[in-house]
Amino acid sequence: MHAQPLASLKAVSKIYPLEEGDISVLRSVNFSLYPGEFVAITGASGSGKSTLLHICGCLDKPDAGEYLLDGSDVSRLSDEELAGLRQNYIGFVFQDFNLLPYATVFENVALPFLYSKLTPDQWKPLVRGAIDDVGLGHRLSHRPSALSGGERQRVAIARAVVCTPKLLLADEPTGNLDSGTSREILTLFSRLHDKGATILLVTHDHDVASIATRHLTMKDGQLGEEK
Amino acid sequence: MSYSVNRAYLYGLYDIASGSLLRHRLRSFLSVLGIICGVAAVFATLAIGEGAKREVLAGIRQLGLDNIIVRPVQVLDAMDSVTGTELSAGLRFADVALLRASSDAVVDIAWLKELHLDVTGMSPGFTPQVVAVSNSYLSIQGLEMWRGRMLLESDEKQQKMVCLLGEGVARGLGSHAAVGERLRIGDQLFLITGIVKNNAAGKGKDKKGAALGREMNQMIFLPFGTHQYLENTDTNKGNWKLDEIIVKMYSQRAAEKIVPLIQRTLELSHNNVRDYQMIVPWQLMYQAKETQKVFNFILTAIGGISLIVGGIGIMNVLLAVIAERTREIGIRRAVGATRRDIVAQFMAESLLLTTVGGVAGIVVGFASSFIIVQFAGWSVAVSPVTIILPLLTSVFVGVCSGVYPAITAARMDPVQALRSA
Repeated sequence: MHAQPLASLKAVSKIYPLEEGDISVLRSVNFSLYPGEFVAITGASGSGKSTLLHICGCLDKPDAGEYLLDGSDVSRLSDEELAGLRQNYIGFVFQDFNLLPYATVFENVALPFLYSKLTPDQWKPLVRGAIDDVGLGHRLSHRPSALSGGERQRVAIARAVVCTPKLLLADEPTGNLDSGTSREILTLFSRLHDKGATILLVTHDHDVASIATRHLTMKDGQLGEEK
Repeated sequence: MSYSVNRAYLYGLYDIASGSLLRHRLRSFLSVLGIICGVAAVFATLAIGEGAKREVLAGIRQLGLDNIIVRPVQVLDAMDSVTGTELSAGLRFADVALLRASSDAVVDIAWLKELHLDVTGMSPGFTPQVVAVSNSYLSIQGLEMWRGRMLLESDEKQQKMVCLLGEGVARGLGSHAAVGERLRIGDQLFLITGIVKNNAAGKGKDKKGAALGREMNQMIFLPFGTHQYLENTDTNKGNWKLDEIIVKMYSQRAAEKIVPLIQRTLELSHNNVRDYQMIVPWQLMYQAKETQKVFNFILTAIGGISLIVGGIGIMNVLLAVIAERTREIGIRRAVGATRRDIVAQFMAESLLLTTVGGVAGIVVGFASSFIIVQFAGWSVAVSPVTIILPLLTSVFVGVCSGVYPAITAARMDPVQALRSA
């Protein structure tokens, strides 16, 4: 296997403090993701798989343990540095798409570039390319409300990959889609993986997980290999 | 990571901000309304205050900053009145010589006596005031001729039965007012030798300066002395009562210095009876400016309060916007926005609201000032300050009311924000 993992969690714990008592969402999770892998994590809702994904995506920080992204310790980074990582290293795909309702397809996909140093002349072709890749080149100026669920998720995928991230994170990407559309979206993920993308996908659906090259399960805040 | 602001970034901020505000036009408009009212109020009060100030100052300036004006006053106190009239006979022609001799810095002196006489041939409603003046009076007042000639020294010396008309009087007389015509004043005929140009600055009907000065436009000027043919006068010319003496000094500085000396001269000649008053234009100017400062401060403070109210409205709207756009904040954070980006975004919205409100407020202020000019007849003066001050204030309000909501938005946990409805 590859020597250097892209992302690696070492004894990562996360606790949600509640009045009724703290909940340990992650209990000393160890996990490494190597470049070019397509890993699926399954588990019941509340098992902590989304939290794991958020930590991998630098949206959340572990309470204990260490998270190395491309060799550097994320917990020591400032808010600005984390934002920079999210922009350049990570692409997110969510269950409910998380598109801006009032923005067009083009504007939604262009969103990450608003916070980048590229000029519009530099990023406009990238945005068009990403939208073409997901097969929505004819829908540039549509708003999300005018699109089907599958199309919305394609827009979200285009937005996630437009900055060519090193790590693509997907949180139940087919959770709001019918089975036919789910297939299309999963095919899209497979295609991205074939092109070399490193993907971490979280789902409760074992069928969905089956397209991944490695399959892990999350139970009670702990990660186990499944084969 | 370094943080650089480029033009595309700023444009992006503007784009987001304007888009977000245009999506809720009515709400944005209502929140801006407070700013519009505040800015318009500040603008209008400054413009009106400045206009009033200029009008008052122009009136005072018309009196002449290098002049000192002495006028008689009625001694009202009953006791004083008895002793007063015994000791002093009011402002008299003899005072002229005393004042002229009081200082080397006196360059000219003029005097005026009001006569209460009927003028024949006036249109109804016109009641000109007939006055007898020294020939220096018109030049000290800076009056110019519209037709004919000034009063000359010889007119006074030779007691010529001539007169000058104010332009308003000339209008009231119609065709009889030509130079060379004769005018019946009291029971004498006077030759009209000139018509004085109306020098009232501005368009207002009753100038505030005229309350201090005189309405020259409605006057008929006779050479001093000729009035003895119109009414009974004392045989001693020195006892002739005057209604005004104007002492013209070498400069405004000289006028500032001479005040106590003139005061003393008059006290001696009037045996300490205060049957005269001194009007010192430069002192009036100073007082007017001071009064204006207070006036301006109060008016601006009132406008400022409405700007604060407007700012609270904007803050309220921004907090509502943030509450409903929590998920958007989460999305933006997820794709790489820093806390500073989020702060910048909401600050941009706040500043856009207040700047638009500020500009609209200036327009409304202009319009209301115009209406005030039309209907109230006040004068309005617009200077750079009257525009820039309210605009700056509204931008300041924008910053102040935007900071708290913007920081609230930036502090949100991105994971929580993404989970919100």
